[in-house]
Amino acid sequence: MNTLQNRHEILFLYDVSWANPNGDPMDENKPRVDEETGINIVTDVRLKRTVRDTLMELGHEVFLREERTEDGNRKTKEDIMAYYDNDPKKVLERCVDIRLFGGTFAIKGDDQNAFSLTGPVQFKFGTSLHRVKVELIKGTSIMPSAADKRQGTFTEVYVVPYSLLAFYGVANEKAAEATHLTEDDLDAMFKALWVGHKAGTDVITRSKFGHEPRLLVDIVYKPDALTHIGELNKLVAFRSEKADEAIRDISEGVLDLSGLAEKVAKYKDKIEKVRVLVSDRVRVAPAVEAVFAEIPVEPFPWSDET
Amino acid sequence: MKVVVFDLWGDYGHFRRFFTTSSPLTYSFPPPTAVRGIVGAILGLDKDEYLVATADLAVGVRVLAAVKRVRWGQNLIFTKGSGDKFDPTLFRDRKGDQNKTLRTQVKYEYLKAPRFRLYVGGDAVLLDELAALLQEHRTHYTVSLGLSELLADFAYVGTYTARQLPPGTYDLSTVFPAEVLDAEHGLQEALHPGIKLAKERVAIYLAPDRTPLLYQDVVLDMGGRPVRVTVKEPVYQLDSEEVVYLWPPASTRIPASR
Repeated sequence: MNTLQNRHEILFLYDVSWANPNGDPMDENKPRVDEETGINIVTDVRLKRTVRDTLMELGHEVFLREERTEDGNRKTKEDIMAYYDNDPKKVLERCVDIRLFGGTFAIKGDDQNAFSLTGPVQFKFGTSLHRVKVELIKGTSIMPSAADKRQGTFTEVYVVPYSLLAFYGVANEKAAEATHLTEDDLDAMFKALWVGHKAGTDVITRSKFGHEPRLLVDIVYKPDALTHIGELNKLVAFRSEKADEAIRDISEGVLDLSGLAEKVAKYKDKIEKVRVLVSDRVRVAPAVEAVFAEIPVEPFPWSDET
Repeated sequence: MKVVVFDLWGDYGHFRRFFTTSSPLTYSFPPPTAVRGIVGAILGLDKDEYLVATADLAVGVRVLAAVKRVRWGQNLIFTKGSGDKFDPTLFRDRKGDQNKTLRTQVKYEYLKAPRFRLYVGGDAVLLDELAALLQEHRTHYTVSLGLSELLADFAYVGTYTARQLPPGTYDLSTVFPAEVLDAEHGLQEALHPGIKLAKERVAIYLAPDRTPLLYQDVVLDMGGRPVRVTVKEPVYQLDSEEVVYLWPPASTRIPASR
């Protein structure tokens, strides 16, 4: 299959209720918050971890995979060593995550000449569309802290009551040549984004339960357009009558897409088509059809399955 | 000399200081080498091509927003495999250290909401192409602020003619190397309440194999304001009146033998 011919611009919104979207490992695993603005931040690598793990669950081969079980591990280790030793190009051929996000490889016996590929798909850090509050939840665990103790121990966990997060990304057709990224790969990634934040194993742990995908927009530019709008995450806003920190649910506000509509109108000649998925309880204004007026709007090929 | 000017901004930026690898600190501005990379990305020049292709361009950098930094920890994959080999794996039994560490926590420093104005002067063909792409908000590769995930947006400002000014006292709007300052009076008129000058040591030129060829101490105002300085080397005035320092092409500063 041909490598990606069109540039894609991606906007992905999901929300988190009473969970920790992305803890800072060097700050008591607290959710990341910009102290100046109260905006919640999620790193791009957190998002890519969810995508990778979900791609694996969907049956794709992934290079940077987590160790899961003793048995599974041993088998896959043989596999991965085989391509690793033979030829990093084979990794590229088989592992969708490297085609999407790039990677760095060491060649056997030649540490100095590791080669690296920049991923055609890049996401910025995700930021919440409103100020968030961080809550410290204290509790007791039933596990004694030492063998001779009879009582359980205390636990602490930081969560955000609610955070609606926007991720912005670009898939670059020129960088796709180097990693052989295809349209199919990108479709798989979109599906993993949606499914992974809905039902992927990454978001059903205690600290992550309460994730929900809300909006996915894929703007597909015409081949050779060489352009994209830029900063899509700045073109959407969440309007609520409640104070930012008091928002607890997506139904408590309206997703304002008027900024996006304005920019899209300026770029409509450059855009081939748009693919959109909105979850049930999201209220958007103006309507999706109005935002992308005069541009073909399609569902994702996998939309029906979710 | 013709100079193409454009703005570049984003949520976060990270231009890594050369002496920090495992505790990544950032410069306050994109060094000239990064500007060449950004120009290369817009023009669609590959990582291996842009240094040579942009070698004859003069570059300047202006800080448009007061420099703000944030720091936070990130969870990275520990890449030391068995036998101290580089191995970015998450399989515990292939890890090289005794504790079989899978991940390592690294505190990163980022520029927050950085905004820069970049000046690119010289070779007419390359500049025409650059200006044409910028005007239509087009790029070949995705432009970022130092790291691939720090996506940047950009806007064309204009194409100007730059006139060389003799040594003298000027309001320089760009960052500049400390060595162009007049030894006696260089900063005499710069120092007034509220100004906060910083000096950062950066690599100015890279050989095609990325060996640094020249380091300089570069001076800027952390508030992003022009600095009134007395210089002993020529600076440039654009026909917008702005006075800027531009790093000349590498060939004028580095002997060909390098």
